[in-house]
Amino acid sequence: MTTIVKPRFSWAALLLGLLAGIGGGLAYAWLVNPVKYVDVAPGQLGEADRQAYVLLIAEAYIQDQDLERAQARLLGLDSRDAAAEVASQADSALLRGVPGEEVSALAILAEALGQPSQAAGIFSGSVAAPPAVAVTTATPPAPTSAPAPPTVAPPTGLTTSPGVTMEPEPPGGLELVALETSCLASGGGVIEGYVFDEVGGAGLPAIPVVVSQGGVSERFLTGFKRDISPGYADYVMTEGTSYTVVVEGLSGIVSGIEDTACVTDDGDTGRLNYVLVFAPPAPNPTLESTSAP
Amino acid sequence: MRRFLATFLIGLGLGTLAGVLAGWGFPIQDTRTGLDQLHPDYKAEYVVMVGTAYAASEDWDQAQAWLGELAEPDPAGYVVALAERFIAEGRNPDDIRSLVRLASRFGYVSQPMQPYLPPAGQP
Repeated sequence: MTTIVKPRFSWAALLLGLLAGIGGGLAYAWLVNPVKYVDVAPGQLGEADRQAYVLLIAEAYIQDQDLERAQARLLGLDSRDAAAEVASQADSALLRGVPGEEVSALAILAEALGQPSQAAGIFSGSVAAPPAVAVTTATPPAPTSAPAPPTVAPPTGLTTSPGVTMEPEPPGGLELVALETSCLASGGGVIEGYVFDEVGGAGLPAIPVVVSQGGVSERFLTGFKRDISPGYADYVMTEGTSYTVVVEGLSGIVSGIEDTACVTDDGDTGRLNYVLVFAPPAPNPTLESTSAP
Repeated sequence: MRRFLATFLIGLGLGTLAGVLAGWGFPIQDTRTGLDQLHPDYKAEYVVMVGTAYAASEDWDQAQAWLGELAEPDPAGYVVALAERFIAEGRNPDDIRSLVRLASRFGYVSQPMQPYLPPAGQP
């Protein structure tokens, strides 16, 4: 009589093999030969390349002005909100100080897509929503003698103005290189600020300026009126109120700026206008003190 | 023992297959890629955009830098081939002009490109 011994199936061996195989397979797929995607859509681009792609869409839009096509191109990015992405990239580029043309292209596209951005307000020539901390960018009535764009020539001499003082600027900051007051029959009562990269140099956009009075501060950025200067900002004062002005984090506090009534050269009653010019200190300052107008 | 080994090997094979498929299906590393891996259609669109932007900026260095991102071994040849393909396919004339503008800047102008060349004095 023959006895057939049926061999037992070894579940333990199978389990052991499966575990070892899965571990080895995962190690191979994740570490040795990871998956690489080819022939991808723009939506699968890495962050830097994605931004380059968006920038190129904006640059192309500047030339062809074909919003529909720009939107179609943006669709390839699989963005939840392409307009917001463009606006965000414009603002980010603005803050990083990338070339103005790039920021401008992004800002214009963002604006065309209906997405307000800080950069759009500065670079596209239209006024956008104010910055988060800002109240508003004050718009004065048209002054009788507006600065001549784009070759605006801010004062270079420091005018002695009674009561106006400035704290020392922080190291590497900006100093008040010029201060002028004038009495205007209409359009007065405005603080006009300029921020330059050097005395007589280029205006700097997107520089925060803070105007304070009675414990209330308003913060706004230079550059909203590029037709005057990229480094220009203004603020309409309230009559009889005294203000301080500071280029945030860059200058000392300029105090004693007061909106007061005055008499113009023609004998009319007017209001004082202030022009403040901030720039890095010159290596050899040659500031002149001129008489008040 | 032999049976144990055979079962183990079967398990090992099945496990490896499952592990590899799972690993490729659910990658742990960032799978986002570069412009050089764009689908050919998107690459073509990208080059058209470069040509359009170049028409506005006239910045040839920038245009070359953008084209360089595609990592084509012969950027000029790629642009020329693309321009000729677009002409042959009767694509959007503005797109063709953008491509021809780039091709001509590279110094390659073929007969079919002639009608799409920018007027003298333009980039």
